[in-house]
Amino acid sequence: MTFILFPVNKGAKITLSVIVSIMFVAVLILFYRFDPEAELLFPKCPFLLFTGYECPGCGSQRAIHSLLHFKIGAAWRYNAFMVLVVPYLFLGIYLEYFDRRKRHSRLKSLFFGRWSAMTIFIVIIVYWVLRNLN
Amino acid sequence: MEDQYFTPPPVPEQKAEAVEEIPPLKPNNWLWQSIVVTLCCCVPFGIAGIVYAAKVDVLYFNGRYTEAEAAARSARRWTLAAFIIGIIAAVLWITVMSTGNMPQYMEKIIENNASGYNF
Repeated sequence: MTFILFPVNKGAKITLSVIVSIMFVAVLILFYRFDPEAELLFPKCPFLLFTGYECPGCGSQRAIHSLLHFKIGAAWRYNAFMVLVVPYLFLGIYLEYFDRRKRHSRLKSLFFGRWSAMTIFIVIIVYWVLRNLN
Repeated sequence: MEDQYFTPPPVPEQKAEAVEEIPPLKPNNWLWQSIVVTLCCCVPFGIAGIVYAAKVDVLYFNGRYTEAEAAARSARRWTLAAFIIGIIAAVLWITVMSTGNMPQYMEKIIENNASGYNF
C-alpha cells in the first residue's frame, strides 16, 4: 500500500499521476452527469444518518454537482465551506505538484503553514456548529 | 618558548557547530490532503489530520525537529486512515444499494431522518 501511495522512482510516479488524473476526470464526469440528490448510488453521510445533524462535509457532493453546472448559489446553500475551499485546494495541488522550482515557497508558507492550519481547524468547527443551529 | 605563542586553530569546533545549526527540511504537513478527506471521506480522522498539520509547523518553527517529524507522520497516518475508511464506506454503500440488500433499519433511518438529504 505504501509502495503504491508513495512511489520512489520516476516511472512509478508517472504511472501514479496518470492513474490519479484519469480517476479525477472520471469522478468529475460522474458528478456532472448524475445528480447526487436523485441517485441512490451516491454514498450518504453516516454521521447525518445516525445523528440527524449535518457534518462539515454534508452536501459537498451536491455542491460539486452544482459547481460543475456553474450554479454557485445552489452550491453555496448545499455546502458553503466546500465552495470556499475549492480554490484553496487547487492552490495546494499546484504548489505541491506543479511548482517544481519552488518559486512560490512564500505563498506556501503563508497559506499552508501553522496559522492557516489552525484557522481552518477553527473554521471547520465553527461551521459545523453554525450549520446545525437553525 | 615558541609553544607559548602557539594557539590551536578553533576552526573545526566552529565547523561542527555550524553543521548542527543547519535545520532539516520542513516535513510535509498534509494540510490540504486532510481538508479533502474531511470534506469527502471521514470527518473525525480528517480533523485529527488538520490538528497534526498545525502541530508540525508550530514544532518545526520552534526548533523541535524530531517532534515535528513525528507529528508529520501522525498527520499522514490520520489522513490516509480517513481516506481508506472513506473508500471502504463508499464501496460498501454502492454494493449494498446496487444489490438491494440494504437492511430494514437502515431504510427506516433514511425515511425518518434524512429524507431529501444526501451526503
